[in-house]
Amino acid sequence: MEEILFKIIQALHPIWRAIGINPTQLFHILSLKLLLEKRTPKPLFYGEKASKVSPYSHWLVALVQLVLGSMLVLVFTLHVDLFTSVSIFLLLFMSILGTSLVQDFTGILLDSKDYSIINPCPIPDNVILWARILYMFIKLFSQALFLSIPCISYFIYQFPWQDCGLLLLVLPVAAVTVLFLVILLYVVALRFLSVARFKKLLGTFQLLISALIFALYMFGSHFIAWEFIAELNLKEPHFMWLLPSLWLASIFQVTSEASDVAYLFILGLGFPILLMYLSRGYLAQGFGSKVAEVAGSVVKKANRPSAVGAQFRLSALVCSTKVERAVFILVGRMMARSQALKQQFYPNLVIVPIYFIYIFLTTGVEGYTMAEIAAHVLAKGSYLFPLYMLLLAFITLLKNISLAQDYKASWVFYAAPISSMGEIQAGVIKSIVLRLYLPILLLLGGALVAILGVQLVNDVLLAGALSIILMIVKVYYSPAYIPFSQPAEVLHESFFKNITHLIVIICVGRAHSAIKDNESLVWICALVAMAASFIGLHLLAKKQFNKH
Amino acid sequence: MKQPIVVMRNLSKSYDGLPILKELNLTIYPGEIIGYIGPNGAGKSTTVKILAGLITEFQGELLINGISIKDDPLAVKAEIGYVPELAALYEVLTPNEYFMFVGGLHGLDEEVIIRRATNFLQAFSLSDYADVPMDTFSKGMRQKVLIIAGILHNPKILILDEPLSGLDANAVIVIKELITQLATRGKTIFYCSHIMDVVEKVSDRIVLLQAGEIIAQGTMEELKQREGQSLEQLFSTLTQESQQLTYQQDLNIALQDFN
Repeated sequence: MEEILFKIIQALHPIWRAIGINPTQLFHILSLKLLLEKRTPKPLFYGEKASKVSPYSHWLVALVQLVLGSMLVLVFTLHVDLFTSVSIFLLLFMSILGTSLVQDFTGILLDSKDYSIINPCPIPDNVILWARILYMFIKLFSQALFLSIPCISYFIYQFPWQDCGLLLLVLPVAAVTVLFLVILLYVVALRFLSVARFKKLLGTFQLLISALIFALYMFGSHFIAWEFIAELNLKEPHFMWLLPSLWLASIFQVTSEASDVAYLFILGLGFPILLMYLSRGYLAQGFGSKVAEVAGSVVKKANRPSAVGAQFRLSALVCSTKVERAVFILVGRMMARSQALKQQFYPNLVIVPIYFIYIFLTTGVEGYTMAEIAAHVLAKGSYLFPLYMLLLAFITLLKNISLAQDYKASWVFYAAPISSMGEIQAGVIKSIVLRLYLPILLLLGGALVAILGVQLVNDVLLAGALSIILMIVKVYYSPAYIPFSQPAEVLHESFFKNITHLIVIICVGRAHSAIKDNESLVWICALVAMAASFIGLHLLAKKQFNKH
Repeated sequence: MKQPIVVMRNLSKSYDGLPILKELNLTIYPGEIIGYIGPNGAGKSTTVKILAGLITEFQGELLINGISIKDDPLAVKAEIGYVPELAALYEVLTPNEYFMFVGGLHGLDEEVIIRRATNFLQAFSLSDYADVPMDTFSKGMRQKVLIIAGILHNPKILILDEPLSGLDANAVIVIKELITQLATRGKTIFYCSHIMDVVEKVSDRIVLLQAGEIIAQGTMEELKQREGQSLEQLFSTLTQESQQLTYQQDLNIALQDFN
């Protein structure tokens, strides 16, 4: 697919030339990027058993897109006019693609790996920017295709051929529009913000998107008034005309004699053309040097030494060997400073507080008092869900802790006289549990106890101890990868392993739920589980793994 | 008589059937500075990685301080300090944090790490940057950090793979002095480089590698007696002899458009 799209892009060379972009340079950079992607890096040393990317992963992504696309088709079953349903469909379609662009493809736009190679060459900024835009488009296109297949099929089945033709015109324009909107956002932010503020904005933005998606998923079906949507007329509130999806959907009104929104379609087509025009000139100015700045090239002297006291005391208290301590401190620092690690972890974590709120907002019926809601939550045991969802976020973190952009720095582990790989794994677990898991559990458990009462203390303790045991078990029985030692592109675990993790967590949560009303039993289980977690840590530290 | 600290016997390594090292035999004594040179692709980095314990699968025998690296790789690694050619380090850490981490992996006490790191940072003019994250460091600054991390645990053998890469003239002087002083303190230096004049000045013995084989070794004087040339000329002569290179002809062809 990517090669076909590249050929199409090459065939469009008169357009690139016409808008002032050197097609030879453009295709040269683009072909290199496609080639580099094919050559996935292998891990350092001991590399004979390098992990392989699952051959099914692309098909799984396609399947997810097809399912999502099928859900979007439900919009057409609403009893509204075609203009409104296409507008809503395009809004959702563009939102999914936009989210994907922000979450998965931001790295392509801001990639700084090749700046020292490309920037010194006489390549104009607009070629650098456009090579990245087109590369993102190639990546986005297959997603857009699978997402739109159900809708296209539905149109072929349900509507006359003219409407099918219009849809085929509108869908790629919608994909291009959302691509340029995201790029506009980043390039403008790059231009007007300092590099430090931009990096912070990037992280926050991605986190907010994750929170928003999950919140929409959780609350959407509960709070959307379907009666209201059935009577929706998007032509009426004029502020809705600001939505690009409406502009594109208005093409379905062109044939309608009494339409007052048909002319919006000119805007729909003109908007991406305007953004393309801006990207070849104004927006591209200084893009290459700004990306280089994001990579970091200015060295400043420190005003004050970094604080070492508390974490050194903590590591001395909980770690039994110097190797364990070194890993404990390294993992803590990397988690606190690495933007890539934060971007991996916090989106998974943010679903926990959202689910926490969801439980209280969706329990009971209208008119219930807070005390009645609390009684319902206690009776159903739904307060246990966020506690085990927290575990899921941490299992994912443990799975990803071996991945890093600067994975080559892990040579130092291989060159050091480390007697037991278990020491490294114990250092990782202790750091994650003590510096991340327990503080978050304390907050979450504290909130649950404050709202629902002190009788939940034993439940929080049991869930915490069981979660720590499951984290230890996960590490104990998985291949022991050195932390931050694998390139981010390497996929370690199959889809089925992830499902297994989920099933185990659900089973443990269910078992906990089954005994929740027997307070004494919960207390006994909590104490036993805490003791077991200490023993588990000890056993983990002693285990001889093979280095990977 | 001194016991050798490094003994290589018939050391061989192949990748996918392609031989990289062919039955190397080399004995190194404590306090020696070995200049390990050879053209690109000769197998220098592979030798260095085997010595540092990064490559574990090879044929032949490698004894460090009388211990086989295959039998007890940890004991061997504890005796070795390694400075890699590519400055790969955790860039989000500061130099001090990195030293604490590496020192920890070698089992050093914190006070020892702090004392040694502070002194070396001062010697390398990096004191002002001791608490600055390394993501903004130049290549030379990173190289200095790697060198300090390599000697922090007071190894018996220091393996330096292109240690002067990216360093300024003052830093080169400091490194040369460091190498000499470490050798007078009984440390063995395995110095791998392309910069011939530095190798010539600091090395007690030079080992020339070509296509995975040692084609010449000896003190600079011994090699000069044999060929009567500087190290650079010697390097050129020996490697050309064995490869039958006609680089001047090739260069003339390559440069014909440049008149």
